[in-house]
Amino acid sequence: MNANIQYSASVTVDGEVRSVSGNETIEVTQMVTGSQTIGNSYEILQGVSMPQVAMILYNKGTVDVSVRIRVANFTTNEYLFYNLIAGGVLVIQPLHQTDDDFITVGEAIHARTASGTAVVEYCWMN
Amino acid sequence: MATMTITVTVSCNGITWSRSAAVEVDTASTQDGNGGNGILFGTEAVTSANNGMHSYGGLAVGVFANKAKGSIGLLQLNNGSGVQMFIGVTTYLPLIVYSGAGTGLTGAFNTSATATNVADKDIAYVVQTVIIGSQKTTALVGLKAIS
Repeated sequence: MNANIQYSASVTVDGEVRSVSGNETIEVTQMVTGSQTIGNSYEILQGVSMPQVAMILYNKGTVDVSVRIRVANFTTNEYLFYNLIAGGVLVIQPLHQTDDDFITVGEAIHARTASGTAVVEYCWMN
Repeated sequence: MATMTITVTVSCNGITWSRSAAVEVDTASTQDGNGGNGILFGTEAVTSANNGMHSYGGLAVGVFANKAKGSIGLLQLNNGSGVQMFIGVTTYLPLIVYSGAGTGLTGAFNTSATATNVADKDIAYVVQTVIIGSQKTTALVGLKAIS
């Protein structure tokens, strides 16, 4: 089935608008949405079947969230981390390159807060 | 001060999921990369980047869009001190990065052998390469003091 994906980023500085945007329709097998309350120890958002298309996260809380991706075929660095700031929207792309120069889909996505708890809302597609 | 608004919307089978982020910044910068392992948004302190675009400690927020149809781009986040992370970037969704600014974490990314680490490395610059196809990145970043 078709999934239409639109994104935009815009800021006005000294009266000048600067922006970047995109709009594309792709084929997906399924789209799943939901939310999860996470604490300050890593807990799983998605395991085994990393998104073949993408996972989009939104931090509804007031503290930053560290998003961790576990990869295979690495030399030293098994884990990759992103900062999902309070109120931020983050895209987990389907592919990363490990320090062993492998292009990988990743094995699991975990998240933890900097402190306390936060609700993370997600939309993932494969 | 200015506000950068980032919105991602997905519509599929009658369901629409849309979320927006609003990030306060001091200023913003844009850059287009078009081939040749280009370096994007280097701080003036990173001499190896040969491209000091700004005087801030790193990127506060960045949206990197892959505009080469049919390609899968590869962007490297680099903290200027040996820590780097490589992300394959599709054409249908951008790479979005944020750095810490007082709400908990002190960086934008990290790579590690330790599972309990967090994103605590700043982005001193970004390097554009490609997995498949042509290289064409359009980027918008917001700048302000980062933690």
